[in-house]
Amino acid sequence: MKEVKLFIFAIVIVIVSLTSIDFLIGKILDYAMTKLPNFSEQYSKENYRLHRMNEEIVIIGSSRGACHYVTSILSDSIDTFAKKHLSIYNASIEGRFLNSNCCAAEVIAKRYSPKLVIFDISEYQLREDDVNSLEFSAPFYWIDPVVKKYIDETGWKARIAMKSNIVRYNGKVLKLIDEYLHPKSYDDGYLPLIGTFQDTLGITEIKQNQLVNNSVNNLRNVISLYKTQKIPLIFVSSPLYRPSDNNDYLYCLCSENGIPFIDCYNMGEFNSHPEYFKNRTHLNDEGARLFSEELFGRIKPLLPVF
Amino acid sequence: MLFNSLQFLLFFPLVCIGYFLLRNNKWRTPFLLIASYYFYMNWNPVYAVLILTSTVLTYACGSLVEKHSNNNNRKKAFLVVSLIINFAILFFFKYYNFINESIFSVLELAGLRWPVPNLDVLLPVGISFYTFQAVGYSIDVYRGTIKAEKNFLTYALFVSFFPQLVAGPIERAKNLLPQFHEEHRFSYDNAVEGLKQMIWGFFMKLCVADVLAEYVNAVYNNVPQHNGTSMVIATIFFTFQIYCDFGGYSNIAIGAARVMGFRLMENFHRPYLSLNIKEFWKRWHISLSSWFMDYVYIPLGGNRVSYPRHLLNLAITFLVSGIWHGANWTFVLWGGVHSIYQVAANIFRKFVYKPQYDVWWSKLLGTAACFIAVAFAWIFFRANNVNDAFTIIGKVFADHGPAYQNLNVFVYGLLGLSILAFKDIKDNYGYSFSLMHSNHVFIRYISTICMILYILLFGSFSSGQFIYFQF
Repeated sequence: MKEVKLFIFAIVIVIVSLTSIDFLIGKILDYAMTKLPNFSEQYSKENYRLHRMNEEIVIIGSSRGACHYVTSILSDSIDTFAKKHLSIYNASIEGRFLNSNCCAAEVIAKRYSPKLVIFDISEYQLREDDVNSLEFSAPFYWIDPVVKKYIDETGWKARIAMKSNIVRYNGKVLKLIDEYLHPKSYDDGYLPLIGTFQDTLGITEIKQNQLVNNSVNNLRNVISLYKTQKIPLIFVSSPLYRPSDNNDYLYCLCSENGIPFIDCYNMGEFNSHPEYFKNRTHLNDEGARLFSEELFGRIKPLLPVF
Repeated sequence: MLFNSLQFLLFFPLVCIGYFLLRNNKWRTPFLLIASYYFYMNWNPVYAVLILTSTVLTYACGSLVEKHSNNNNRKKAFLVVSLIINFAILFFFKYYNFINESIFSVLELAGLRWPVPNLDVLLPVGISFYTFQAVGYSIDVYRGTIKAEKNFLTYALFVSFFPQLVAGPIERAKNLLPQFHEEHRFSYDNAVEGLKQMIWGFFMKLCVADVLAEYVNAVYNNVPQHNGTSMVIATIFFTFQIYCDFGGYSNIAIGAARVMGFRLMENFHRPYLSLNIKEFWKRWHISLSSWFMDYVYIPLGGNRVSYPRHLLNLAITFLVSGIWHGANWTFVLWGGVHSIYQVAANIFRKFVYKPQYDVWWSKLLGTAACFIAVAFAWIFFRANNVNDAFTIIGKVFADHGPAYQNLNVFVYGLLGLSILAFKDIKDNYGYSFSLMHSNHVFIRYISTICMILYILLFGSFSSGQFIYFQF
């Protein structure tokens, strides 16, 4: 019995110490997060798009979104069309897939009403369980109720893990320090990729999975919220080097809800043109500029009155 | 259930509390058995049928072998039945598709057809481990090394004991079975030492193996896109990844068992500090190496035969070890490379030069040469197929340039590796300095807490499975 008591005492000391340190480190990291520079690549951009962004035109997406939409080109074209200056920001971030972007879209809509939101999406994102991408939003779990709701929906394990401040920042400290020390400012959120790639892999088959209910529901919720708040929303599927799937379900979803959908996924000018791609999934700067010009031509008839 | 999951962090304390609250083995054995089956059935409940089949079969054969201990023919017949059925199950689930595909490929080259289709079956987790443990029991009973276990529940627990069920250590009946008959009282030392070993295991898995895996997977799963420099780095990273993945699992298993008072055999003994390849295999996956030594190498004649036959025995043992690892030609080649190493090292020691390792530089040279040889062989083990393996080797020796960068892996991975190297070198060369085992209570607590914080802050929690689960 004496050994049991001794063991319980040791465990209590470790747990109390861990809890105290967890609380302290959490406070320090939360404070550091609020002091991040405005843009850069990852957490500062996430912080910006969730809490500070107030641009009139917003682009939401993953790394494909970040690399495919040249904000300066879109801005010039839209300004000419609207005959006034409209601020624009590409709020797409590498590693943020559908659920993470739906979460961001909800946070943004609850904070302010942009004049146009372009949502970069492809149907394969609805067919992949991407709950892991929400881990990037974990530092904001206790700040944003929407972020909390999205993370809580992923299951009981996430709900328990989020109780620890340190776990919320798991694997993120180095990137935070890097963003502090080397803040990068891109063209209003656009991330240019330089160089082309050698297509040595040939054709690869993409297995078409079942639709993931959670992802579909999240996207439907975003559509519903944007319709209620009358925020113009356009879905765009940007080009892929060699797609072997399609966007059939997205077409149905958009026509059902009266949301414009511009499908450039299989666009002939880009498909199998390595000179426009940095790798199989991302356009390089040259490709992105060409795509942004093409895109404006396609969204022009759909633009609202600004 | 994975060790590196929240379920296990809840499951394990509950099992320990239940185990120590039940003071009698009459209740403890069924309790641990139920917990072990629950642990295993978390992957797929159907798998439990296989482990139960293997358990019933080897238990019955063990009892019959002992019953007919005076009749050699019958004794042998029961052993053979046990071996055939156990290996047939293993063959069916693990090797059938591989052999079928290999026959198909060979016949296709000859322009012939092979109409036998592959089977749509999943490889049951840990089947090679518990099959070998159960088969080892049967052979030991046959040899008279141990008595057959009378209590079926105790025997079933021996086969399915959850800490070492899915990836070893492959325990020997003479070590583990008697421990199920002992009445373990709660021991502070066992609990604390066991937990510390588990923490170290989690560190190896989450902070080194899974972090390095990010780089290794990026390179090895996309060979054409990477140059030789990246291949060299990825291969060195994989060398440590597999050690920390499997060594980490073993530490968690041994630690978890120790908390409950069970002593499992050591499975890894700082293998990359071996002076030569022979020593490496005495330090790497010790429970499997010694299994092959006892049940394959020695029955083949070991070294008590002619010299050429001895070399052949060595080669066969390592080739079988390669095949045990997986149903893929890459594993066969990996086993083959180690066969060549063993044979070449033996010939070198006998006819050319027997290193003494008596000065520091000869130790350093031996360790470095052994590390490079082992790392080279891992290329076959990790490559997705034989073509990839040879492409990687070609690139390692020719195609160099700027390496693929991953800041997270380089910083977190190298930090983790530095801590690992510090501990392994310290333990290997007997330096008395210690942190988690310091004589000062304050240092002990601080270092243990720091280690947990390090795991929580820098560990990779998203990668999941242990590499050896596939075997």
